[in-house]
Amino acid sequence: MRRRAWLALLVLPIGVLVALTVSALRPMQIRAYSLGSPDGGQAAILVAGREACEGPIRIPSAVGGVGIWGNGAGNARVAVSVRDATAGRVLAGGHTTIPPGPPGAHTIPVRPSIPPGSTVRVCVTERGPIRFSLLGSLPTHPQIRMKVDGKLTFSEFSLVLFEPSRHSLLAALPTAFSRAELFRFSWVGPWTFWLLALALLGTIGSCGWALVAAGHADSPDPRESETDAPRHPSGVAR
Amino acid sequence: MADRTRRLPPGLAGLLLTVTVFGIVWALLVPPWQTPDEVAHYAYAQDLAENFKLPPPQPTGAAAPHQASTDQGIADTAVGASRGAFYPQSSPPEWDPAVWEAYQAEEHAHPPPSRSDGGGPNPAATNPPLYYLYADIGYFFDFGGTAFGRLYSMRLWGVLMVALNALAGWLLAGEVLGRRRLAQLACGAVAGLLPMETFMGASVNPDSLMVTLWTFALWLGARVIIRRAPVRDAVALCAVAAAAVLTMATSYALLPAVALALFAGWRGRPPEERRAALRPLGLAGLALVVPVLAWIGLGRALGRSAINSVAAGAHPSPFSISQFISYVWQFYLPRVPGMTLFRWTGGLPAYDVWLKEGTATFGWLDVPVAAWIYQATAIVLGVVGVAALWFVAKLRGRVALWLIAFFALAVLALLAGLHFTEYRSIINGQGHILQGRYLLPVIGVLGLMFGFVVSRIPPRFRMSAATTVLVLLLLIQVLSMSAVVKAYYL
Repeated sequence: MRRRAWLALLVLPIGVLVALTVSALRPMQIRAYSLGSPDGGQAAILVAGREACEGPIRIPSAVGGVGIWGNGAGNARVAVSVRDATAGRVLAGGHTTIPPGPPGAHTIPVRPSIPPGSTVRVCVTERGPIRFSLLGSLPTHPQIRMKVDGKLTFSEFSLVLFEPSRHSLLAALPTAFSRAELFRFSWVGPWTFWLLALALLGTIGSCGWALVAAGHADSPDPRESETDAPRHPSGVAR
Repeated sequence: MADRTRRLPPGLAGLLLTVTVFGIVWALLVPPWQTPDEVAHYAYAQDLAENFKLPPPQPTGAAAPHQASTDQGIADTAVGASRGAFYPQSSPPEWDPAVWEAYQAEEHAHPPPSRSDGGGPNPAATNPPLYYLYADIGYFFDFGGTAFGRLYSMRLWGVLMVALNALAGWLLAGEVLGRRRLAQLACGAVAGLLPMETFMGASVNPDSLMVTLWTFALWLGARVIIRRAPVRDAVALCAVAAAAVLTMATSYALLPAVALALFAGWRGRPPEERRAALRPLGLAGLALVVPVLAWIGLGRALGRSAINSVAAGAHPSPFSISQFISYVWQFYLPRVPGMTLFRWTGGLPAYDVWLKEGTATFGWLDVPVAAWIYQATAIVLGVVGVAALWFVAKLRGRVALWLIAFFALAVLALLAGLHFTEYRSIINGQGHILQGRYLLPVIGVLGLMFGFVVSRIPPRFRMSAATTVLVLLLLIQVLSMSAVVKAYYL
């Protein structure tokens, strides 16, 4: 029983660790910045070169992609440019074709990547004849404003900026923990989440302990046969 | 012998430790107010703690205070909680340390933002106050801190409920299946480690307390049936059922099963004892009747409904039994031509609501896990469910049949109440309201199903079976947490 128990227990750490590792090593996009504007409503309709721009946005880390929300009635040819907020010079750009479908998130890579600390304005244009509905909300930041074809509006489009390179979840944990430490207890820091991650790893041990103890308690006493044991009054147990 | 029975079984200790760790991680990982209706529940608890009064359920038309206090409003705006609800990808919680520092400065200003000027109309106000009284103990743990400190104190305090739910699952399996530790471990693990339960239990939400009370009620009901209604157990069952009703009106669905357990336990007594047992068991029932009637009376005195009511829309339709059957049919089965369309999810509602939302959909139902995880979960639940039904079909004996009736009634009454409420909401123009978490009160039955199957398979496979249950639970927990980290922080 003891040997069988240990063999069975090996499945636990191996299974969990393999799944964890596979899942945590897949590369993924990391948001460098989010405007915080939910994609709950229509912010602008873009068609035939109409352009929506918003800023100024100071980006905290390097950017290599722009995320927007919306949909078009057909294949929308959407272009994005990231410009210097003061001089108006184009720092990076990119474009994509968005097929028709329900409203959703779209990521457009921009080249070259933009260095951290830049203050930028992000512009979105639909180059073709398709009406592209750009989603957003009412303004969430008083200093950031959206203009459509140069005219100030009372809404803003949802916007996230992605880091240039993809990272695995494992590699991105320091970033995640430094963001998660905010708006908690004042004493919480990234160390809290590292400690919790360690504690999670420790649960493999506590589960193993529980299983071994339960298996040991269930081991039949060799001096008793199963038919000797008193029948449980529920009639469910065997 | 006495020493042996009083010692915490190591298997249970390991389980409780595991559940507690996961509960703490969930409590601290999820951003502020990013669990279902947490904004309203926090506001209710804060008003009770600061003003010791219950919030009104509906706007009266007169000028009323806001639902949330200035303190909560400032914190909510700083972290972007309300604006980000339902939109974690485009509007994650604020990541800028400068905003956090500015918030702290505002919170510690003189005078600090008011914590007692909330108490306005609150959608959670139809709930009785028991959970909020419990949550307020957590509120006072960090009374002098920030709104976030108080919120997270309440969440961490809720972790106790998750651990108690696992304990109740362990006890339930022990009562029904006998002292079978692996089966008890499997049952307790499902009750404490199903990700949706850990997530909800560690949030500010009355579900946290209600689910635990239901699992304890299932355990006590089984005790009453098996042990032939000892008065002490009957009192405990009635008191726990009363506490469940005083937590959420959903718990009225527990009462038919409680009545059945008391009747079955009484019937299990020798005929010559039954007459004498009527009086003490009737008195035991007072532990249920008195608090519930007191709450109903108090509710009337305060102009509040003791049960959740569905508001009528502009053009309510009359109740139609055939339409109700059609609605329930379409929830669980493919729609037959000629039926009025009631389906509102992409797939079968039973799968999309009960399974996906009931196991692992987080935030404001806006953070799912990968589709294959739901499919794998469905397969596991299907296999275990069929195996459990197979073994149940072989059960004979009066007590076993009473137990089956007891658990089935608890599940069916809950389902009937939920579907009836949703159908009424639909015909009143209020839309669909069911969420997967509404099934969590019967998580004890789900755990028991797993424990039952573990206890019925040949002894040499039981260890592997229990290990598999725990592996799968840990795996889905970690994958769920990964989904939450990606949605809110990356």
